[in-house]
Amino acid sequence: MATPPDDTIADPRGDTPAGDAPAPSPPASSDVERWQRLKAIFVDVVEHERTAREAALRDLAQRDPEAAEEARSLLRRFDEAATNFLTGAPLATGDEAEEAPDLTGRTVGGYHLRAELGRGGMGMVYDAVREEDGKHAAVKLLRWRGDPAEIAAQVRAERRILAGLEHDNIARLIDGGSTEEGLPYFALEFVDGQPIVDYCEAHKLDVPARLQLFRSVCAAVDYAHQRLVIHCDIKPANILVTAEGVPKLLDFGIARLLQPGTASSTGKGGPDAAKSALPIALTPEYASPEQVRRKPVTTATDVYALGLLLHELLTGRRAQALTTLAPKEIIHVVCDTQPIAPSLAAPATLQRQLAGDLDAIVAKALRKEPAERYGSARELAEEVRRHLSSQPVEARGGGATYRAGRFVRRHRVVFAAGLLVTASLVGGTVAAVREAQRAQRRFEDVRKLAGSFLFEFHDAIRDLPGSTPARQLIVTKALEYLDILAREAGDDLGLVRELATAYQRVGDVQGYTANANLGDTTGAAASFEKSVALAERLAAATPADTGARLLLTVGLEKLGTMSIALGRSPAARQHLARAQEILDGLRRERPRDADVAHALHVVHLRRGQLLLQLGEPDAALAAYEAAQRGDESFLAVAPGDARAKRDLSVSRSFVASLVGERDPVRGLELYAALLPPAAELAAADPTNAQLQRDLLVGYEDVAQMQGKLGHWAESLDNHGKALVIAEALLRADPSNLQALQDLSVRHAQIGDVLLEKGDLPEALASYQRSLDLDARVAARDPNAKAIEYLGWSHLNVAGVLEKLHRTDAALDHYRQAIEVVSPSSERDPENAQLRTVMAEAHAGTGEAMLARVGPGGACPERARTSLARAIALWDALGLEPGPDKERRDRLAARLAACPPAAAALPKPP
Amino acid sequence: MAHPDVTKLLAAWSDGDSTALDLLLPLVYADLRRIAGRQIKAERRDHTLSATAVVHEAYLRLVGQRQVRLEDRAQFFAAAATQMRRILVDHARRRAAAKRGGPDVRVTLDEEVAAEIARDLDLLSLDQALEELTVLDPRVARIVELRFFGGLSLDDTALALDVSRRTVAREWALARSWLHKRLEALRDGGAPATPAFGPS
Repeated sequence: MATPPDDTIADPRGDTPAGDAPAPSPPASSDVERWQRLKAIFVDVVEHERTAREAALRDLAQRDPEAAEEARSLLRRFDEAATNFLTGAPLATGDEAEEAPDLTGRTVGGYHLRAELGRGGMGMVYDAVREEDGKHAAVKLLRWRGDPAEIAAQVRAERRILAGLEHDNIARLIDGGSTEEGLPYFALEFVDGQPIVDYCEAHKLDVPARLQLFRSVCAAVDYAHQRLVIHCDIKPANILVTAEGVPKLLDFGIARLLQPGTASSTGKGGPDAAKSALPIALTPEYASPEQVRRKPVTTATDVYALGLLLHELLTGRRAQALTTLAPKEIIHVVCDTQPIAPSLAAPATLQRQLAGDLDAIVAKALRKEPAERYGSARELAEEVRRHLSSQPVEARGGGATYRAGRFVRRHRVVFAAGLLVTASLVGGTVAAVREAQRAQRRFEDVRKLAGSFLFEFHDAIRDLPGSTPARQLIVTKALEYLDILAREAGDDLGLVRELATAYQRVGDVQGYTANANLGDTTGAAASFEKSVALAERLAAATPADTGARLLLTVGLEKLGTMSIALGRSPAARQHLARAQEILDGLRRERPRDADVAHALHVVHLRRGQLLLQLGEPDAALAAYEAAQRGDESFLAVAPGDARAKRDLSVSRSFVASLVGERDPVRGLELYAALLPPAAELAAADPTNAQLQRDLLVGYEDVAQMQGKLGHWAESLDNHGKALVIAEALLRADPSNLQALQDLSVRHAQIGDVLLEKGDLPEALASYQRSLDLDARVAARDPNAKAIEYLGWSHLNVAGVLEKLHRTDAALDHYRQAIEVVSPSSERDPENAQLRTVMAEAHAGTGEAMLARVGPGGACPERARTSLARAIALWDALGLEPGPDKERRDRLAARLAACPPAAAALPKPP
Repeated sequence: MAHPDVTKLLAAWSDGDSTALDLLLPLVYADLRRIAGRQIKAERRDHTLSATAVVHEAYLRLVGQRQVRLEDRAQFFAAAATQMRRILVDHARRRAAAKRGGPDVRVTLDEEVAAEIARDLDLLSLDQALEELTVLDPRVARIVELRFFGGLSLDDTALALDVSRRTVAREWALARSWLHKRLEALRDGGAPATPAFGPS
């Protein structure tokens, strides 16, 4: 390592300003002028051969001897000493193609090379004409040196095969050979066209048109496969589409020639190829697993590349994105990572069109195991045809064939890295908004940014386990600029709509309990309120716009949900009633509108939830049944709608739960019927957290009914299945509060069964686990539901402790339950669940104290107070006849039978 | 996603909006520093550092999988080149200062990158010579920056500067010859600047 000599260590522009040598400032105009003279001569002659150069310099010296002499000196230096200066290691450009000679103007194999068209890893391509007849061609020279005789033999062999390919969609091979230096070359039919992806974008082709182009490409590949020629390097750059819209595949068989160890080569690739980690001609973004692992390539390799091509045609993005060019990374991305599904990678507007068939087709073409892909390019083309004519595609069949949607989303880290960058960009852009003089233009920029940011990115990762922190980052930054935009929105209704939607997205991520969320319930409610206010404005301004009204109802439902969680029951009731009223009207106007149907479904369920919380189970059941009826009637007009199917299964399970409360046998029947479809959906899309959670709930419901019926073993078995899913979901997304809460409930349910079964120590352990988890949830987001769960967990633990005769410990947990719940309960007296917890905690305290005294003993004052409080709380709830009422009455009787022993004693000061 | 924003920033920048470049460069800089550090660690054994690989990686990180117009891509690399120069020269300078300060100064990864290059080249002198060249001919100096520090191909350099590939090739040859001579003069005792014609 060279140490710089001391005199260069000091910063040349350090403490002494301009004028200090060697900095040449101020620039002497004569210096610049002299430089220009030197430059003019140098660039004029540098390209000449040595003799021509000398002659030119002699001419120029007559006009400007000084500059000519300097140019000559520099040129000599260039030839002798500076050849590799600033080009070699360590800062190599890594672009070896650069070093290949420029052969423009030369004649190769009878072709005059007129202009270089491009160069890449494989070599150079020239625009050329055949000298004998002026035939236009593209000549490709391969960057591959070796024994010229051997190369020539290989090229000849290859040429015989390739020249036999005559297909409208394949650029024909005209000639081939090797230059004197041993560079193999091929002359190909000259195609004047655009790379296929560019062509599609430039002509704004829709999905069916892109699929038709793709089928033509498949046909060409299949034709070649029939003749035992594999392409091995299918990628957008190798498929040009002519002005007439005809795709042409270039370079058939040429990449293969360059890959060592392939059948058509003699097994001795170029020495470079043998040494490098990857075949030299490989384009990693378009390589198949077998190629990067250097396993034998087959026609399935081309099928894989066609899958990548189809993905890119549909989404405009590369399916295999590399963040580094390190071989390890390439192997990881190509062999171990499933590309993101096209429907998720594409712009939001295309999602619906791509989800389903096309996702499945691409997935099957991109199977890592060659044998699991389509058997041929023809089969792939046929599948695309079936999709285009709305016939069922095979990729979505069940059983042994690969199921639809089984994409594993790309690794989370990649998303997170992208997000950080995005977030800082947005921050910067917001700052620019404030400062920019051209405010309007900036405004539009930010608006567009907001759009792609929230709608494309957020949607892409929404259902992905582990995405919560990434979504939080989106939210924080998004709120900053949304607030700016909202202040400036004015009369721009388009913007008002965008903003209303955007605030909903933000609220979802903050705390909407139906989805993975960040536990910021208060923040979510604030965002939904903003959304509702904007949507009200929009709906008022455009009364005929059903979309505006729908947007409003969605906002109201979300706001209602948050109001429930925050213990604002009257507000929740009001928001949900308003939403239902609007939606009933919309449903009558648009009976086939899937979004309206779904919104109505959600609102009914929310109402049910609220009514249960308010202690009105019959009204809640009626709401759930209304949801089920609505879902059924919508599915009757739209039988294929996947979301509606899921909605129906949810509303059925809600109905089952309430029915099962009263009639467990009927409840178990209803629940058991829901399990198989849930399991099927979850298996079809294992990374979809929502579907996994649905299945979890399905197991749980069945298990609970079995528990009620005393089927302990079956119940514990199904609880165990639910627990496994809950743990997996939490592992996948440790910061998701919903997952944490789910896991807690699982343990509590198992505790319930064990308790019923009489296994007290095990039950205590399960309840304790549940309690720990609930405490973690409540610490992070102390909303009413979380507090309620935490309260119940203390009660559960206390109950078992009492049965184990650990009275002091039990009393301590009752006390903690009261401490935890009473502030929330006082804030929202209408919340029946919270009141019930309070009543149970007081009752438990009283009973435990009485138990300690034993039968016939004096009744401590605290026990009396606790029992009286419990009874008062239950009375305020207006208990209907049932177990709770019976319990209340039992306690009242005990209180009456208990003499106030301490009443006579004076109270301590 | 990152891509539209970067592309937009690049587009705004090439339209002459310098704010966009200000927003872009810190991103590039942070990324380059990190990648350069990792790269040198990973490839230490064969003592090569591919500027292209480093910059490519930063680029891919920024734009993701989306295809970007060639011009935008070239602009990006051009921006990266400036950052790369700044990173490497800064560290060469700090390292040189540290060497004088004492033997036990901790060398960071970034400094190691600079050190690798210093095996063959005195980066500080090159930087100084480039400053001189900038005064004489900003475009030629910029070509050096793009080619050497940014690892841009001739084609990308041409795109970034909006000149022909041939012009880049010729001026690149001129720049290398001139810098070679200039560095020799500096090495031989800090000869005063001889912008175009030295006392040969």
